[in-house]
Amino acid sequence: MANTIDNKLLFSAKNIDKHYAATHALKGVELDVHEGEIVGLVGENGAGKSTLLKIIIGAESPTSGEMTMHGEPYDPKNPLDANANGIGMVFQEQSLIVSLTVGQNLFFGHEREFSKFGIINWPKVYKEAQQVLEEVDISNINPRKRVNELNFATRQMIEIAKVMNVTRQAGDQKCLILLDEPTSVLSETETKNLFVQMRKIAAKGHAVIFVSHRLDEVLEISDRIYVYKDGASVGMLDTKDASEIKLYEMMVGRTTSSEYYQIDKQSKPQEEVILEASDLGLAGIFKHINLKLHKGEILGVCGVVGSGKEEICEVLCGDEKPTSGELIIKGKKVNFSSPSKGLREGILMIPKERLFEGIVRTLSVQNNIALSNLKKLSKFSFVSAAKVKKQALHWIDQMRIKTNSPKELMIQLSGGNQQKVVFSRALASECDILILNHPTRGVDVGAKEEIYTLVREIAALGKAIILLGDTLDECIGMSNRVIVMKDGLITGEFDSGIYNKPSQVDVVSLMM
Amino acid sequence: MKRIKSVIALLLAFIMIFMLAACNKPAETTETTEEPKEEEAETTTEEPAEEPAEAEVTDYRDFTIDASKIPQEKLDTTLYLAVSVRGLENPYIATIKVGMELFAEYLDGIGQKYEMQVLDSGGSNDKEVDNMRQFAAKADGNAIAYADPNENSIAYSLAEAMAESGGYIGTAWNKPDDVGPEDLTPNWVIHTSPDNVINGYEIAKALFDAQDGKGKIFVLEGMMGNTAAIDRAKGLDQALAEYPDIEVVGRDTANWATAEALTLVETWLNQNPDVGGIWCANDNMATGALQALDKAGLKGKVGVVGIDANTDIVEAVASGDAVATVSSNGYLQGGYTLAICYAAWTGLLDVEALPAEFREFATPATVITGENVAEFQSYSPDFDFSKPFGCKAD
Amino acid sequence: MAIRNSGNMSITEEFAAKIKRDNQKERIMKLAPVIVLFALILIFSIVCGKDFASLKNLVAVLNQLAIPLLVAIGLTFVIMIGGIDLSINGTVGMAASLVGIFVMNNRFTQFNLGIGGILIGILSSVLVGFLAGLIHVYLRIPSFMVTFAFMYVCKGIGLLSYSGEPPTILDPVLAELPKKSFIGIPFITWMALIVLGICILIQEYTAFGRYIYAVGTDESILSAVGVSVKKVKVKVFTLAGLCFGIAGALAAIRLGQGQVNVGEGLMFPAQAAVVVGGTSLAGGKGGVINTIVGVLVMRVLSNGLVLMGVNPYIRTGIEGIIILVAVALTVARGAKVISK
Repeated sequence: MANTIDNKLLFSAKNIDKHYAATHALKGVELDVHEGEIVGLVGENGAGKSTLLKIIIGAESPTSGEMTMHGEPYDPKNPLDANANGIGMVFQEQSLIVSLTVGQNLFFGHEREFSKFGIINWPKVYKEAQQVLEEVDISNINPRKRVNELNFATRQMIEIAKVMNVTRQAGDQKCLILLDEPTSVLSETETKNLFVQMRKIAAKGHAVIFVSHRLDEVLEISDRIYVYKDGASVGMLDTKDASEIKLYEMMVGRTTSSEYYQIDKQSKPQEEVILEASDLGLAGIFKHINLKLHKGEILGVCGVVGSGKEEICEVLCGDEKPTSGELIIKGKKVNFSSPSKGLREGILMIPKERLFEGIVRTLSVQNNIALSNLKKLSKFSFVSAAKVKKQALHWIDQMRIKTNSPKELMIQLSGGNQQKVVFSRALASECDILILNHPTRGVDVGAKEEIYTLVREIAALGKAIILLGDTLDECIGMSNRVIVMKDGLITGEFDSGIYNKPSQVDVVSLMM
Repeated sequence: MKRIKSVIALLLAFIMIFMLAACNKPAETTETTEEPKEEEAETTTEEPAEEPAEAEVTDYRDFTIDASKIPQEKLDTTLYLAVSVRGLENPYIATIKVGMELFAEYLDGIGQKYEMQVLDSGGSNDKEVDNMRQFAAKADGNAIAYADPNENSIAYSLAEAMAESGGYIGTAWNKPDDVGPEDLTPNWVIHTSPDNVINGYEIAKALFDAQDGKGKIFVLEGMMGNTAAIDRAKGLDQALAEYPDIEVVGRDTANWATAEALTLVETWLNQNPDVGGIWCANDNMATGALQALDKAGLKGKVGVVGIDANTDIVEAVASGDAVATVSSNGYLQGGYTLAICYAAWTGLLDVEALPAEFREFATPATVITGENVAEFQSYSPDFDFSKPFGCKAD
Repeated sequence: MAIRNSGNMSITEEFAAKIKRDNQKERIMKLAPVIVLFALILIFSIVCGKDFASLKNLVAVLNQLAIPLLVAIGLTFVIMIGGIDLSINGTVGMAASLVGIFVMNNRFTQFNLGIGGILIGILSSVLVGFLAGLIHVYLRIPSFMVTFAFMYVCKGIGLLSYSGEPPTILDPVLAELPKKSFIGIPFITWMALIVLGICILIQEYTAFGRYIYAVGTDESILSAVGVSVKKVKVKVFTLAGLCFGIAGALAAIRLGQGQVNVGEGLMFPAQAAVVVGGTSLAGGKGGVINTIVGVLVMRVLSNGLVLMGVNPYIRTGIEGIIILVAVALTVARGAKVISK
């Protein structure tokens, strides 16, 4: 395990840059992988790990930079190309066809190798499938079983077996296997088995790149660890030199100045509890959630993707029904069956995918603002155009929305201004509790500042806010109080007053 | 509160609809006030001096289109001819089109300029009305049409579409009882129909007589809710009342379709292989029934009757596999209806003066049995369109 | 760390349990069409007695099964890739009309091409399927629009081909075929069963068959292994066209007449049969074998109701209600699904 660095270089990426429309997702990333090595990648959400993997497997192409595989220049056009070069990947979202059998999935796309006159020799397929499964020690699965009859963990193992098949086909050539969060749905024993398999692969001289939010796992399995932050590599450690604390420190960024988040404007929450959840749970996602939200409070929720924080928001706003526990709003027990019921009780969520869920792109600014309170602007079911316009003008002024006229279409606005329209609509609906899901995602720095100002103003009005921040820094900086989630449970709660903001490392250590 | 608002909105909508309906009423009443005028016209037929042809006529059956009296400007105007039908896949309907073509030959003979077309509704009420409206608008008053309304309810709308543009229309088969050509004088010239009740009755009698008045029968009815289907079944029921020893052992709708008839008879034959006859409301279904009998080896042993005189059924009547069918003579319906409308358009026929029994009447239908089938098969339509009321049955 | 692990375990277990529950539900759902079928058979056997539960009636049902079965099979493939084919009424009618014209018949004596006439009919429908597929895939027009348009085109061709009275087939071999049977099963049904066999072979034993499932599940899986999704889709529509064409040819032979009307009223029962059989309208699930059960349900239902002598005014309504119940039982209506 220790000397892998001395082995032959298998794969290397140099100076990889990736721009999406507005964001600079990868900034000169470096990565070397040697034969027989297991390399761990860690970093916060959005640090660029997934983007990097997608580039390696050929699902995305880098804006600039070079890669080599087996010492040759490597520039895959698609995942198939990557497979031909001995690189395979287990995607976070599973890529099995559930109505087909295990064997059919394992050799999907390779049927011709088993066909005579176009007719597939299934016994031969299943015989080979059995061998592939044996190699990953899950030979107790009948390859003739359909995938939809299997549990999730087994499916994950088959996914891995499918990728390992790349190594079989590579023959003498050494391979690189990419695993993106493979353990998130596995139990402890299943994770152990996965690790055994990974070591087996490495022992044969192949290499594995392992991405996980669970630092203990990364420390357990990898030989070397790369740490990423904001799209750049911030360091590489030999595992023997690494510790969880050390990694946390590398992962989190410097704390931004308090002016940026206008912490001096942070208002003190009122005494009155407006929302209370007790022992709230959603089967398979989260449980034992107890929290209290006060009037005028900004409550930050921190956690990695899959920690359950997004689903809590969905339950709170009525999009999803909880399977246990109860929700009390303004002292009244509620049971939402749809978001509109949530809205009636004064809860509104501003969704993360603004472009998909939040706005109607082909409607005008004024109509978008009026969407959630059309009834208030109507008489006898007929909408009053004058009222719609008046309301829009009010908010355009209040929110400093840059638009030529309230009749301008949403698509003609910048991202930040679109977000402001979404905010206006939320406020126009006169809700008391606002759930902000990544409100600053995809907007530029100037717009971010304005959004922070808005959030502060809204809180000062006495409205309660639940905030899922785009970065940990933002979440801590903006909130009065922070709760930390991991694997569906609340793992910690911090006061985050003007003068006693928790450190990012403290928070991260409870997240991962 | 909000609910109340929407209720109010609904109420408003209803009130608007009623007002619209009310607006229509006065129009109707003005039309009915015209009726006495018609009677007047009838009684004062001696007066008009300009129309000597009409003055001489006492029985409209003898009414003649005198080509020499048609003004030259009419002959030089392009007249648009149309038949509005359900779809040409039905052999009977195809004969209506042929009727139009025969009439067109007559127009060639007298030197009338014209264009003709088939308005195919594909079995859709809306489409048939739309087609007629477009056709009428295009012709701008110089149009005559034969229409077979897809359902009773649209007969008035079809005639109205034509009346608005000043063209002339004759309808056939389907029409509600409470409206008729007299509601849209002069543009809705006539409404004719072979008598479905009689047709249904006649073929039933032919079938039962072939069975010596006893035994089991299957009944294949037409599309439910369709006037022709209902009336033909009514005729059957009348016959059944007269023949107490006939037992109906299977009765269902095959929607006028061959394949459905085949399936039904196939199923029933397992239950009652000793059936004596099959009554079908049209010949398409009779085709299916014969096919099912053929498969069961019963063709020729079980009597089959239908209506429409499709070639294959006429042949089956000739060979003895079928007992009877009825020819409604689509050639005659299409051709003569257009001829009467033509007379109205040229001004030779004063529609207002036409007595009621010449506005709505039955066209002749022939029951084809083994006795007259040879005669029918050698029949080639040859009509004298200059005597357009020659198509009246009695 | 300790809290974390224990909590973690239980939530993963909960998740696993949820998946397991979903699976169990799905397994029961899978059986539902068969249960519906047996329930119908049982009820009709009791109510109609010998009229229903007899060999003769079985043969009649088999006889009536052929054309709906062929149509439903073709449609199954299209639905499995998440598409829909509304051209059925037209393509079947067109194929039947052309077959009627190009074999020995009473109207067009100049075209007696024998077996070639049957091939012309079938090929016309194959061509339409191919074109519909191409237009759907390359011009990116939704399949329902394309096929809907083709329904009219085909009906038009069929109508025009014999304009007026449909040709009666006089070819002595073809005219005798509907009466022929082998071990009690009518010839026409045998033909349908052979096509069924070939389609099962295609579905289960060829790469193409696997790709059909993949297209319906997630098209990106196919591109990841370098298979052209477009080609698969065009092939599926062509195969459907073949099934409809054969159905049309057999319908013409069965009726002894090539009429465009034979296509009428085939589409929606076929649609219902596919769905009742358990093939998901969203694609990726089900298959030809499910469709056999679906078609049987539909056939047995209408056969039984006719034998019961239910008033035709009520029969249509009852049929509708039973189909609704069958669909409600067999179609998985999930709450939000967390995983596939």
